[in-house]
Amino acid sequence: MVENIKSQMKKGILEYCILSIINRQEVYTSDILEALRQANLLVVEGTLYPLLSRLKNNGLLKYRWQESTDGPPRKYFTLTDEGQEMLIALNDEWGVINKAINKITKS
Amino acid sequence: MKLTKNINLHGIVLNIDDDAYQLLKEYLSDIESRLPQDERQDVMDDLESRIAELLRAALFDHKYESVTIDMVRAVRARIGEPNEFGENKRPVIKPERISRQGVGRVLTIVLKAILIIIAIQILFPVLVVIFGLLMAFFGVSIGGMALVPALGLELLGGSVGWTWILCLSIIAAIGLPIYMIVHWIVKYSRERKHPSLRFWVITILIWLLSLGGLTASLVKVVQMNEDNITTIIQTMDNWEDLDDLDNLDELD
Repeated sequence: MVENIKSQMKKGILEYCILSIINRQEVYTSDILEALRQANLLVVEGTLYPLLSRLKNNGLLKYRWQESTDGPPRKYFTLTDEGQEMLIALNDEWGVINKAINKITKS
Repeated sequence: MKLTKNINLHGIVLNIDDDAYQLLKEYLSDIESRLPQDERQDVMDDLESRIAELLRAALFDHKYESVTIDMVRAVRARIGEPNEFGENKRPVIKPERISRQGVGRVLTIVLKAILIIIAIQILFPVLVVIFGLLMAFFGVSIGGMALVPALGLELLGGSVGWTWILCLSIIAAIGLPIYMIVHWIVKYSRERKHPSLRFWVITILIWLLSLGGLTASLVKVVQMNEDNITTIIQTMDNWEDLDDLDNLDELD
């Protein structure tokens, strides 16, 4: 039960976190995975791929292929203008949620 | 020794053990069936690319030339179970489309199939083994006691009855060859293999032992019957003698 709720909470904010990571610089999937893992937000890698695909299909992300010496060509992601607008909106929303949660849990 | 395959995983050619290939194929197929149509190709390409990258790294780390099943399991644990990718979208039979009569029929077929599978795969081989053990027990015990008198076939025959011993040894003598044939059929049909040479040698030795027991108990029973017949004849002779005496008395 607790694990399920925790997993749902993480999934809920994962898209926001991915947009934030990609906003810093052009990134390869492994870089996103590493950043999420370090923040303890990702348990398994498989969760990421459908999310990236969905964000790209919604016009929030774009990518370019780059050859790699270590393996197959890699996709490097950046935010589209629409993605950046979405991130600004999500930042505002996160601020609101954060305040609300603090108010409830610390009162 | 293992069979290997060559696969192309998003442009990367990998040599992979057959069992590892089967596991990877099922894993990818399971994930694919759970993805929405519009993002399926995209996600599968990304996944295959990532898996190829992880497997290549594992080959390099282990200094192996072929991907093993453990490497695939490790990749699977890292990427996540298929249910992380959503519900299984493989077509299923919708219950509402089946009539009540149809449900009963499907249930009967399923139950029959389960029973047949249980009977063929589990019960029958178990029964064959039990039968074989029983026959081996009869063969070894009766044959052993016949060949080594100190073990007490005489004693057993005296307490249980020689006719019983004879019956058991006949069952063992007939049952063991039947067991050998049935065991052969079961093993070949399940594993496509013949029984080992050790099986044949041990079973034939036990069978020969049971034949020894059969001969010993048969001789004993025949001997006893002969004794009985002799006793009966003697008794009848005695009766005739008694009749003669009676006749003599009457004459007197």
